[in-house]
Amino acid sequence: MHRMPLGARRLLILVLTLLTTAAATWMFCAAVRVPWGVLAVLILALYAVLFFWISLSFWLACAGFLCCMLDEGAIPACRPRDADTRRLPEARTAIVMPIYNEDPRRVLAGLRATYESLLATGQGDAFDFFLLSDTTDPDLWLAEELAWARLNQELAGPRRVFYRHRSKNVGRKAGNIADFCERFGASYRYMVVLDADSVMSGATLVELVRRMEADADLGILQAPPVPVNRVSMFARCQQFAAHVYGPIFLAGYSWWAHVDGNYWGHNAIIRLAPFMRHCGLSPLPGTPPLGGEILSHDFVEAALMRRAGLKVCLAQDLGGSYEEVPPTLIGYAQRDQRWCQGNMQHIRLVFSCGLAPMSRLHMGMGAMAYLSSPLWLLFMILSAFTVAAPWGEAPGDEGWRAGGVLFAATMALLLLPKFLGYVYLLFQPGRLRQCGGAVRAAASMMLESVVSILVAPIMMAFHVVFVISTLFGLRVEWDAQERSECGLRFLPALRGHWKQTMAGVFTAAVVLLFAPTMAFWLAPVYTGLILSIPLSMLLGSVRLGQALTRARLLVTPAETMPPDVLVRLRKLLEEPIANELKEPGLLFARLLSDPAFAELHGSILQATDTIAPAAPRQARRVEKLVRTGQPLRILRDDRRAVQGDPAVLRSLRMAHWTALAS
Amino acid sequence: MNSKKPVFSQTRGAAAPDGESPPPAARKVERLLAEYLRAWGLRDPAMVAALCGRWASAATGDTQADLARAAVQRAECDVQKWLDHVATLISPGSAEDRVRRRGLIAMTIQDAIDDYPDAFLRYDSLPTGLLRRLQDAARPVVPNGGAGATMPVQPLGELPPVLRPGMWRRTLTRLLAACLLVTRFNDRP
Repeated sequence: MHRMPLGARRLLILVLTLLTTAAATWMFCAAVRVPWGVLAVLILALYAVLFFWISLSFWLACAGFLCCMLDEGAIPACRPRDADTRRLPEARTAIVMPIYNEDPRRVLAGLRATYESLLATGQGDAFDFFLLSDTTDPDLWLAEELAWARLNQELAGPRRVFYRHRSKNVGRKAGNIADFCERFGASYRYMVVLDADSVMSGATLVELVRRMEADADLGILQAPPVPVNRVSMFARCQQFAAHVYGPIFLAGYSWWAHVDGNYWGHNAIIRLAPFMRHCGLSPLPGTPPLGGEILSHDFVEAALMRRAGLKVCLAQDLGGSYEEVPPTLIGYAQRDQRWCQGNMQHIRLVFSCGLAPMSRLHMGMGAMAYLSSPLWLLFMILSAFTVAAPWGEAPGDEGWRAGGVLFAATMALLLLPKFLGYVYLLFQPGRLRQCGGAVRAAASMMLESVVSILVAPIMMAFHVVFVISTLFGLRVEWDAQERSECGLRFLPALRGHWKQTMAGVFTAAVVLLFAPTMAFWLAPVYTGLILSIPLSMLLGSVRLGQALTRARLLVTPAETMPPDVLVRLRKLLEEPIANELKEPGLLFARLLSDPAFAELHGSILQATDTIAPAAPRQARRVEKLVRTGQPLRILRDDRRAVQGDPAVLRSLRMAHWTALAS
Repeated sequence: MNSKKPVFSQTRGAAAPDGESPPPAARKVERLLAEYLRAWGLRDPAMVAALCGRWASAATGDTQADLARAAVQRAECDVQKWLDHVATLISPGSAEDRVRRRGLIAMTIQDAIDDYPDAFLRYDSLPTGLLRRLQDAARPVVPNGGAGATMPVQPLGELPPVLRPGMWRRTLTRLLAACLLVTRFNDRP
């Protein structure tokens, strides 16, 4: 497979995808006897576009399967030639973790586990760690500082773990990283970007640097992150899918994209000098939603690296790269909404000058990941309308037969890659055992497939709302995102899904009344929507997840045989949460009463040039409450404002001690 | 009246005979200073009493609050000077570097000072154990000598305003015409 020229690979995938789409569209014409007209052409066009989308993914999975089976494991696009690890200390690498209002306990635990794993490789001296905070929540800000100080006191080895806080998150995550590059980037050859929930093993980090050292044209090397550590049924499904089906999809993608790969924003190593030269981003012309700051910066940075002639590759053969997924369906949707606006901006960025065609395709695919939902919905509405309309005609026997074949073909396209992933697993006895064995892995695959079928219309409904609200500049209100695993209660589930339930009931009623012949075909859609509330609660259930673990269903190698770095992370997370983190304002009170903590905070403000004078009115308001011994009643925004002003803090500390005396 | 007279000098100082217990206002200030020292991690009673006595006797103020403020300010000032000294010992380089390390020096002093109570505010011959601990802990917040660089903004060319209906008018018109063409072609006998 890997001997095939790159152009031929892409042509093959394109031809196969087009042929599949043409055949399916032809069968669709036979199945649905629609009188020719604008409506019919529109339905067919929608069907062809959507089918092209799923058949592309199907053929990539098939190619990946063949790569994995024929080449005895997936071969990465950028294979290292030079195995000299002695060169690493020269190649200084910064491991940066941009954070924004994240749980400091989890963030620091992940960073520490990664650091200790790296130290164990004996190559720790070549790496520096940076915690790049854009946190605006005053309590989390102080908690981060304390956690960083504690980490520095407890760590062994070189302990080059730095902390930088910005008072304003200009440019969001891309701006945060750009600020790092401008301040410290010149001192490093590489940068590894981690997410707040990322963990990477030391061996993987060293290997990433080694591969970059071996190929001077390699600009970005992405280590695909595997979801781990969650217990809820929903998360377990994601984790199982990533472990079992992921390898073939990644192998296919890497075979097809080769050096025109993509960057997913974290768990990747970047060559800093060209990144700084070629990847500076400016806001898009116009106003949000499609103008303003570039939100999904990763795709754009990969495209700009390619435009500069550097390779962007996927290291799909590397393990040791992990992340966490939201434990509930609602949490997952919330995350998707954040990504939606960024991916919608890609519709414009597709037309950027000088980009490689594959980079444009990546951006198109990014936008299509969300746009496909409203297109599916439109397609279903138009199809049902055509059948129910006075001029519409119910399919005859031949139509039903063709429809059945088409339905089977569509399901095959969606489910066959999962089966191929399972077949590949069967050929790897070690991994198979870690996934529960052949029978349990098969049962897990079926369970995951049922869940994904039921969840698909719910996600479609979410995406439709996200796309429409993004394009019209509307806000979708959510409860605060629950990152910890404590299940999903009825009320939050009701708030998150009542509109979908109503939409499901309405759809079922309309279909049964006006187009009963379509009822069977549309059943998976309205059933999923009607059941969205109980389904979401069930999938978010930790108990159910634990029961599945006991039954060894939906288990993954990271669970049955966890690597050291994950074992360490779990142990670190078992430590109890400090009382000061449980109530807002307690840490601010400590800042006033603990002179060493005040010294630490002041030192960080000064060292990172983040001093921001507080408004005199806010300072007076805060001082009044401190003088009367009520620091816990200080408003969040006021706390935030005075925390950035060392002069005000000094006078507040004095006020605190004076208040104590009286 | 003597309301302008410092409370402390009124009750303690040259006028107060040795061995006489300090008045309630002074006791309060001493308790406050003891609390302040405990916040620094110092618990040794003899050391705490000595430092509190020193600061309290030097403080002057009209009211209880003024007295307390003056005493704590004095204490803060002394501790700050000593911290500067310790930071210079630990990091003899630039003042910038000292600022970067001061936070962790302070946190470590808080953890370690109870093991070396005599070293608190001492300028000469600090215990080697404490110095080693401070040297080990005093990591900078950010690395030294971060060379400034710039990331030039990359041109992306003219990006179409895809939400403007005008942009799609021509495409939609062509699509519609194509649909009509297909329909007419299909309707032919």
